[in-house]
Amino acid sequence: MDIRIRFSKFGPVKYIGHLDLMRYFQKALRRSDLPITYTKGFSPHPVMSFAAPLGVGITSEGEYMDISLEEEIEVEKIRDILNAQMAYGIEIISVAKRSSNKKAMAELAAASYIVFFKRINGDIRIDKDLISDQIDKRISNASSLVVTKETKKSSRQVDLIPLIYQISCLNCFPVDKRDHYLPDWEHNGFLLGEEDPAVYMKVSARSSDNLRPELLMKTLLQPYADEEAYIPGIHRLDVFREDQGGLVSFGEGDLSNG
Amino acid sequence: MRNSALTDEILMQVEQPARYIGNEINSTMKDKSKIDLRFAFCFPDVYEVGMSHLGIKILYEMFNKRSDVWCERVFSPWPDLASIMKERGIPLFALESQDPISEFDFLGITLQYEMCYTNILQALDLSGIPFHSTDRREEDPIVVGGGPCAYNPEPVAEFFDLFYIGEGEKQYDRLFDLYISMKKDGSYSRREFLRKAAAIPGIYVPCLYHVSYSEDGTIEDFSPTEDGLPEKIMRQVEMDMDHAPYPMKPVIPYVRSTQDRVVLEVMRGCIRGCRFCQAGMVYRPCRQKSLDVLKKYAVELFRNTGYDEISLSSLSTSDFEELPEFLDFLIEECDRRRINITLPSLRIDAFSLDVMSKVQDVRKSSLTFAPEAGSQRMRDVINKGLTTEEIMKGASDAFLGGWKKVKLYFMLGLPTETEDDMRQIPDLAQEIAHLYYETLPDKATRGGRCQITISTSFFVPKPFTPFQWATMCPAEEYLRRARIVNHRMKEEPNHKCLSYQWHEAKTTVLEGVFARGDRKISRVIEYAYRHGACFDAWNEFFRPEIWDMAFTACGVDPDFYTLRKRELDEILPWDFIDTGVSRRFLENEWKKATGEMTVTPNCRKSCSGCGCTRFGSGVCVAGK
Repeated sequence: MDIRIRFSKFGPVKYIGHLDLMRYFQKALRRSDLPITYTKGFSPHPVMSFAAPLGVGITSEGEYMDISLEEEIEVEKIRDILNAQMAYGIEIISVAKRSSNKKAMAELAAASYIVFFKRINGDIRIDKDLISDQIDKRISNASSLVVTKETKKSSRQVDLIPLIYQISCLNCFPVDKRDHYLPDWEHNGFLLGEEDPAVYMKVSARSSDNLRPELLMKTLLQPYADEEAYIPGIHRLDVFREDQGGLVSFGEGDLSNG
Repeated sequence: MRNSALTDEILMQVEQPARYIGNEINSTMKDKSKIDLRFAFCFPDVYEVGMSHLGIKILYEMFNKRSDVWCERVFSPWPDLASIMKERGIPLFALESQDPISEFDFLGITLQYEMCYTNILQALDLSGIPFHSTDRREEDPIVVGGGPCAYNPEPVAEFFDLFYIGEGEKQYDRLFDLYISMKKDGSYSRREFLRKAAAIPGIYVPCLYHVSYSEDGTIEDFSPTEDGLPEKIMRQVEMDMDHAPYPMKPVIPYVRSTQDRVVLEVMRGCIRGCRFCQAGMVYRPCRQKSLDVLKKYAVELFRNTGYDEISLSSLSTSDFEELPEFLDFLIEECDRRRINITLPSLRIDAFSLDVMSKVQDVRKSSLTFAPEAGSQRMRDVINKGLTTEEIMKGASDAFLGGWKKVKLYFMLGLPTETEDDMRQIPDLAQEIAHLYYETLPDKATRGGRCQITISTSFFVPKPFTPFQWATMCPAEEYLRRARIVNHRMKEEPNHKCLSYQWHEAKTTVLEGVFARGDRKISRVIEYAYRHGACFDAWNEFFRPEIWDMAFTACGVDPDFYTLRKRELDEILPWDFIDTGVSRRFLENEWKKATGEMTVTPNCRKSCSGCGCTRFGSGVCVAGK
């Protein structure tokens, strides 16, 4: 039985790196006593595949992990069994059956985020008007938005517009999300009130042209506020795969046809 | 949810932020309003090292079983974070509650190695606790020390309110009960608590004991300052290994710790009487857990942790009498559960090779021998009880079994060591390399060269060992000896199969000063910390020039502790502790090592009268 698990990562565990998170899940799976499929060889470990590694310091409610079981078990039961083994901040949101044997990572096409802000210097105000204005001028009504991407070896020019599928300034901060997933952001001085500015974005997450939300935010706000003026907080909402020309959530659609 | 002690901004700029967040599986959260005593358990080194220590796990779970106590963990912040905390005045905090240490009733610090002493001061400094016990205020936590280095607590005595001498399983409940009852009935004051605590067996309160020195710098007198205080502090020993507390739900770190596996203690103490080994003396008598208990623990630990590896812990696992039966059980159980078994410190013989070939990939793994000395003469001096024939037999069996990589551990600078003894270290490695080609003469079947790695550390005499009277060497002399070994190794016919690595000599000398130091050393440690020394156990942070400066500035001569010859009638700084091993036994062993050159049989062969039969436990009473 092949399954896809959707989970969250928030609170202090947002500081756990991807490799440590994998080891965390390996142990949790062993503790759960579920009949997990293991790799062969001298040191067997659970067969598992993650959709998209999450950067340290980012929270998420759209993480996916694929595993396989040796027996058929009800998905709700699997979810409950796994939830009993979780630390605060990692919640198994849902479990779905999958018949595709494609690796989760290979399907990855896009990710959606909500970005919010913490001001450091008092002078410059990042407000909704400023952000909406920037989105209109430089994305919606622009033909290109070219940035220089620096890598260790070289730097190259990249046009961000084709990598942005959707971007908007939120009218009202999603308070339900704040209360569940973002309490530690608020404690750290991020502005998460209903009237505070926040940006929703759905951008490319393909390994060849992954667009990091902080880069997009920096590019948009640079003329008005340098990096010293604010810190963006990032919360991932979901990740998507391509399906018949459109983008479908990893957790939705007919997983059997994936 | 509790809030982190560190802001996002700080956590994002330090290495491995997951060291500081707590919230791990099996960590204990309690409602602090319902707690009478809060205990911060500090391992004064980085998280990954501290989280690998078994003792802290045992006591963490034991303390937290009490509903009136909440024990949390504290580790040294890595230098990147430590400098931020110092600069911004962020107090040191415990991982579970993220609360500052100053809010706790106790700060317990385990002393596992001497080179962590400056990290103790860092912990006190960042907690805002005065360094000296005598300067502390009523509201400061009680600072308690324990662990192997507490067998000579004197170099750090002034920094502690009390020390617990021996195994923690025994008396902590009494100490906690005393504290809680004094707090409740209003009779608590820091001074009065310490006086009453000093009456509990195993508790040493340094400020209630006075030391005077002779003109030559040795101790003239060491005695209690008040009537009714014990003259001798008795080491506490857990007698019932099967019913002693053992951590069944150890905290599982997110970051990979040094011991990232189930650790199962099968035996405490050691039957061998190696004369250099402090653990072999101060954990006497040798006490084993029973097979049924170990089986039960192993299974429960697999279920509670999810680890994919288990390691057996003891000073000499080969001497655990039920090892074959237990390994049969483990191999089957682990195969079913897909768990790896790692086997440290096994004597290399037919049995252990057979077991190892079952649990590891022979081609990739290396075998470790610890002959400790190259010559048979030197091995007899240290009472190692291992002959060249045994080593050769083990090596030849190993080569036949497919192993090609061998690691050899030795010590340089042992008492009575001659240049011939030093040269016999690479000679032994050469013999083993030669044996490889003799054992496997066919070039096609043996498949490549063997790799013999020689590793030497410099010997540091430790309190409560027969070698506690030994003199050390200056740093240059240690390096000269390493060069002799290195030079000889390059002359060996099979030198291409050999490699050699040796330790830092300056660290060794400083460790030697701390190991047998007295109270005069504390001001050197304090000076060094104030001038930037910390994490001295880490080569990349060890700054010998600070220590040179500290000794000069404090007018303390390190040679007094390392190079001076100690007479048998000298009062040693740790003589007020009674470990159960008598001073007479240690003196006799010292004489046997340096004079008569005779060996002492192990505790199972015959009792040598060290004094530990009075505990009435373990090997002393087994089968009698």
